Amino acid sequence: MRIVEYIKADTFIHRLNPISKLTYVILTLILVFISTFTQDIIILLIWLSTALIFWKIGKISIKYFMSLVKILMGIIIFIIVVQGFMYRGETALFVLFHYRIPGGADIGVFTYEGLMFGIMISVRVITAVAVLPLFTFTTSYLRFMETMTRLRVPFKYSFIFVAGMRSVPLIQETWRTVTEAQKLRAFDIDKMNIFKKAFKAYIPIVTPLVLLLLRKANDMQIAIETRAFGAPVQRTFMEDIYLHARDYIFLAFVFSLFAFCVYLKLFYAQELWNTLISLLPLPV
Amino acid sequence: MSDVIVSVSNLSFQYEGGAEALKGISFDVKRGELFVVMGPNGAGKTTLCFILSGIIPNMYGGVRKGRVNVLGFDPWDQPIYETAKKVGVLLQDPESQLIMPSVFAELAFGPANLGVPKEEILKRIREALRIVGLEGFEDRHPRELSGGQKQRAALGAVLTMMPELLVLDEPTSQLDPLGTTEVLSAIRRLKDLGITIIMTSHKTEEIAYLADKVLILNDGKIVAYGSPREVLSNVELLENVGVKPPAVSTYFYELRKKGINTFDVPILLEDAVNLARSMIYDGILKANAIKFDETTHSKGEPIIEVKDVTFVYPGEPPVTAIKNINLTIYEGEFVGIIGQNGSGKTTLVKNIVGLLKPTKGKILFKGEDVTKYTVAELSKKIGLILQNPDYQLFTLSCEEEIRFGLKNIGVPEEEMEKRIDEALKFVGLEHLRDRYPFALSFGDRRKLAVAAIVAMNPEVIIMDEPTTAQDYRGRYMLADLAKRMHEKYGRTIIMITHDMDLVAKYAERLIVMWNGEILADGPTRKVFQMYDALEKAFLKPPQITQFAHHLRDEGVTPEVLTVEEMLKALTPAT
Repeated sequence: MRIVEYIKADTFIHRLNPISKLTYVILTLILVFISTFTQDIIILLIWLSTALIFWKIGKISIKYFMSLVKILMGIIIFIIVVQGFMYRGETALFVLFHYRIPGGADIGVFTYEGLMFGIMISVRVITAVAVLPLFTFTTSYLRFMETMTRLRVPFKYSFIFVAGMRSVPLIQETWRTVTEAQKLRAFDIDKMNIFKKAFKAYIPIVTPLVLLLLRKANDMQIAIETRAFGAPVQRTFMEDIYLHARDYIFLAFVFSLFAFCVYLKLFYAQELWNTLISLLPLPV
Repeated sequence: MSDVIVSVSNLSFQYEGGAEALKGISFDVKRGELFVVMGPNGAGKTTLCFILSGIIPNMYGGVRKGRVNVLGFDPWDQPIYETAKKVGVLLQDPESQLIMPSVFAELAFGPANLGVPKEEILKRIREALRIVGLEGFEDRHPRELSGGQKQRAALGAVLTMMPELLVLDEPTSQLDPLGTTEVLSAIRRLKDLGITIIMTSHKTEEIAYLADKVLILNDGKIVAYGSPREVLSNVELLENVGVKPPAVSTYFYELRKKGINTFDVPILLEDAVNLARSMIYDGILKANAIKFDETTHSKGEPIIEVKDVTFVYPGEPPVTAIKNINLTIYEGEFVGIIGQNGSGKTTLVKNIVGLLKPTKGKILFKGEDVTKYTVAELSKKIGLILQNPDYQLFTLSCEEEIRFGLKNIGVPEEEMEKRIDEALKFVGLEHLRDRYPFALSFGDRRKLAVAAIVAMNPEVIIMDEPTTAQDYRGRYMLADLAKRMHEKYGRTIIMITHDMDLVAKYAERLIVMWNGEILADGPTRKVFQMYDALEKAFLKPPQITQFAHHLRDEGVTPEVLTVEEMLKALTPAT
């Protein structure tokens, strides 16, 4: 499964200008960044559900979302466990032992407040990750590159970025072949300890790798230059790089939602959270 | 048709601090011609391509003498993007020429750099995709293309620049037979459209059908220049410089040496068949039914047994690379494996040497399951020599390179020196013992890679594509090494290749793979008669075998594998 993969389709989200989608991603990151209290879970969930609606509109399979959560599961469990014990909570859910770090929490006690705080952080992580496919799955590199020139990023720089992305699989492939070639000479890096690996084991692999990549880079440069890259003319834009009505509508919507969430956070989050808690059959 | 668009006179070139690559060559190319440059590795073919397309001096420096005129300008005097408007370039390696994440973006890249209007670019992309036969592939990522498709996409990306001259540097040398056919037919369509093409190649038999002019370079000098018929029928000259003549030409050339000279040496299979038929009819030639030695070497013990092996590459979706393969290799055999890329040859071999573990089934080495051993332990028993030596060479001297593997398997110090000496001598590199491997020629680097495996003294040696990027001599040099291992030391050899002449000459047993399965397995002579199986795998027997096959009704034994055998099967009547 790939995280950065353009899937061609013709949906509202696909038609949006990359700048609009990028703005949305940035707003999300800001929101995630400022949501630091347990009660902020409410605005995070609001934002996350809108994101999932956008997924639906963009025809990105929700199955993919589930597998994202699965990948993140390890981190989520880690966060919840650490927070459960470390958070300075009062309601103990269970006790392993008692040890109070000076001026801190009793780290032998798993608290309800810690659990909730851990869940909130997990939702932050999920929210931040969940909006990325809305950009990467629905935006072709070419359109992204060309739109960046509208933000006055020289085409050269966005091209370097894209060519870099393109060479990642090339490097991986070369790495694998070199490792295999050395294994065939009874040199098995997978079987060595870390110390040995770090100090000498990589030489037989990194040396051929670098030399090969230099050669490939040379070929690539020929392919690029013989197709007139860097000719002193205005490049043709192949993709639609302009903002349309739909972009303004989309931006208006996400900005209002953002404002609404911030407003909730500042004035009503605590109250809402308390109401919500009281409705839930929780051991408090 | 007569206007000259490329004119080179007295051109010499010396790389900065390097050897003189071209030594005073002169030739003209007319509009619409397909001009093929041939010659052994190191003859200066690539240098010539680079000069015509402005890559020299824009990317590589050196000293040039003489005069070059390409479409009215000299690529030396202008920036490369100016030359790029008129001259398109395609290199060998399809992988590194695709730089964009989709075929569409790739094809749009060049003309967009030149500021061509969008509507025009879209029109050109449609046209280019039609010519290279990739309609409907616009949104494919390069990763999702086969080697032949990648090379055609790279060609399409050059075509959208609307070049007046195409410079193709060995466009098929890294492709399988199917990919080669695809790319060559795209080139033929371009030729029919009247585009001027300068191409380098090693594939004489295919070139004979395509080229308008052939130029042979050797050591930076022109040794022959003329129509394909003039040049390619000059068997002696081609053999001398290390270019493989068409097999049928060699046959008729040898006939001439026997005193029959009432004909011109043909270069095409069909012409050769017609000529032979009429000569049989006229009583000049006589077909002999010859019996080939059917007795193969007495089979040794089974050394590798592949039992019902399936291998699935995990992923989304999983890819079944080989399906229920059953195969027994006996001690002392010389086995060839042929098939297109993706037919499962390499996967099978990787399972045998332990780089991959069978998803289902098992592989035995002398009765022991190979999964019991680590790859390192197996490397003492089965040696795999990979296509490209540059994936493994890393030390500062040839000696060290061989020592590396020996150290890994724990050969005692005293024996080590002996083995290094022997291995270097075996491949003929003993005089280069202290040289830096990367300073060696490609052919010598390959020899060194062979020595590094041979020194580990495995009982089975597997060669994966010894022919990739190798010229005619290089191919036979490696196969000869394998043959010597086989005959002198009784080693079991498995050779994977796309070169039918090579397996015909060396392998006793031949396996044809297609789509993860074994389509045919038997003595090489028999397998090359299984036209149905070969056709299914998009393969053809060697040209000389096809020649004999066409003449079977005239009484020629069809099971001929080499020119020497053909000379016995169809002899002068007197």
